[in-house]
Amino acid sequence: MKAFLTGAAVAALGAGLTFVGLVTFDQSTAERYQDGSVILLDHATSWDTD
Amino acid sequence: MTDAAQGHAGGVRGRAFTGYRIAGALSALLFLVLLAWQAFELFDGDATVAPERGWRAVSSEAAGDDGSGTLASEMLTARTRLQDERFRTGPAPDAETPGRGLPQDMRLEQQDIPRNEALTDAWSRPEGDAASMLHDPGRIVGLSSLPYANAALYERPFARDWRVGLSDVITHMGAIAILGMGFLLSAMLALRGRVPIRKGRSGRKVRRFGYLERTTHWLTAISFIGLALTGIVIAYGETLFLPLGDRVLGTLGWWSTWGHVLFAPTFFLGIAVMAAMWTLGNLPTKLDANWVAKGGGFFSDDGPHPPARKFNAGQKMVFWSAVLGGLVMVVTGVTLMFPFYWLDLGGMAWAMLIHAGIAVLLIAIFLGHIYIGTVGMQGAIEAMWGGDVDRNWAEEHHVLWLQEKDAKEGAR
Ligand code: HEM
Repeated sequence: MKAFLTGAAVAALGAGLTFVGLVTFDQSTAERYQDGSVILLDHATSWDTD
Repeated sequence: MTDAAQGHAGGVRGRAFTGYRIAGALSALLFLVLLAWQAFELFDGDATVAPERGWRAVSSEAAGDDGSGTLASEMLTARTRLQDERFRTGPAPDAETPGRGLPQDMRLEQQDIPRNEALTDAWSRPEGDAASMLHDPGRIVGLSSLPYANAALYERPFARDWRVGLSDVITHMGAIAILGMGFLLSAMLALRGRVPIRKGRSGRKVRRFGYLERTTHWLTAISFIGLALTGIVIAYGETLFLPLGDRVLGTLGWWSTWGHVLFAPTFFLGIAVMAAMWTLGNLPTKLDANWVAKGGGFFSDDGPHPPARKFNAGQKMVFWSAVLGGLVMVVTGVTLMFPFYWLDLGGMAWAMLIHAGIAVLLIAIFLGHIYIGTVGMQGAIEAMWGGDVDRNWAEEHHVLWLQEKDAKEGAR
């Protein structure tokens, strides 16, 4: 019981830290302009290396 | 039947034994129904996505004017040019926005695409010219003004294989594996009943797992179950939850997409610590072959029980599935979180296929583990809950471990 609760607490803590980390280092993948148009900031990946 | 085997608290003979078997039978029936549903899903032909709605420009006055794809495409071209320019120059909020590409008296309208499934069919089974064009270079590349590197890649045979593999083969095989496992376990409970402690409880305990071992186990278990449930929403949400409404799927999907990443680090931590603690005890030995040959002593309450140390062969398989399978899931999962950083398009496709394929296998395997750790075997859960098991349980399932432990502690 105690071990289970500790495990659950560590899992919750890990989830919280991950959330904060992700939000902090968030990089947007798209940009929106005033007129509402959006462009995606894709990586310049490509099929020609595929 | 001896007295001890009959009536002990938490015993699984007599009425309690029958109770478990009835519950198993009911649950087996439920899984049969679910499997039938899965069979229906397999053959109802909606595993392919077909385009349903298309755009066209119509005159506002004369609605229904058989209007032009041409105007729509002019407007899209203007839009494309704007995007392309902005992609090169970056944001220019003060710049003038181009006027509407569409004359005032026209508007864009959506309409159903007739024979949409025929389109998908043509796409998924290329014939004639298309096939020979695709065959040679492995892709059809065109021209595009869209500012994305992949936009000009029109067709790629492997993309088709990937799609069919992911949304058809793995999805359906996974459902069959998971529901099939549920059915097998239920049927086992119905036919064989709960595995009892043969001699009944001795009432004397022996320590099996320490605090760190149990904490690590539950950390991994909770993380895994979190990942499994959110993953099931991501993979099967459309089938399972769309019937309950867009909102339900939208909300669940949102939470699951977040949750799926949030549980991953603790899962990795869990399997890493497990690997450090338990690898030594899980290396294969000669005992394992004997254990497997005797079916783990699982199928009878009277036959000889194959001896084992701390972990028997079945548990070793569970351990290696968790550690090796978990590692594959973490590596592919991190790859999917950082698309194209170290893999190209073909590599990303494989990462998805592997992630999904191993995931459904692991879910099926751990269903079996959870079953045997709870309802399947009397006394097993105590090892992970409080840490102490009944000596008779230990003698039956891990006799060599118990002897070694007794010898060590007696010598102290
Ligand atoms: C509700 C869920 C679960 C329950 C009730 C449960 C129960 C148990 C129990 C009772 C044991 C000890 C067996 C013994 O005394 O020998 C055990 C061991 C273990 N569990 Fe779990 N478990 C659960 C979920 C998981 C999950 C999700 C994983 C991994 C992803 C996992 C990995 C392991 C491993 C590697 C062992 C040690 C090897 C073995 O005994 O098979 N467990 N579990």
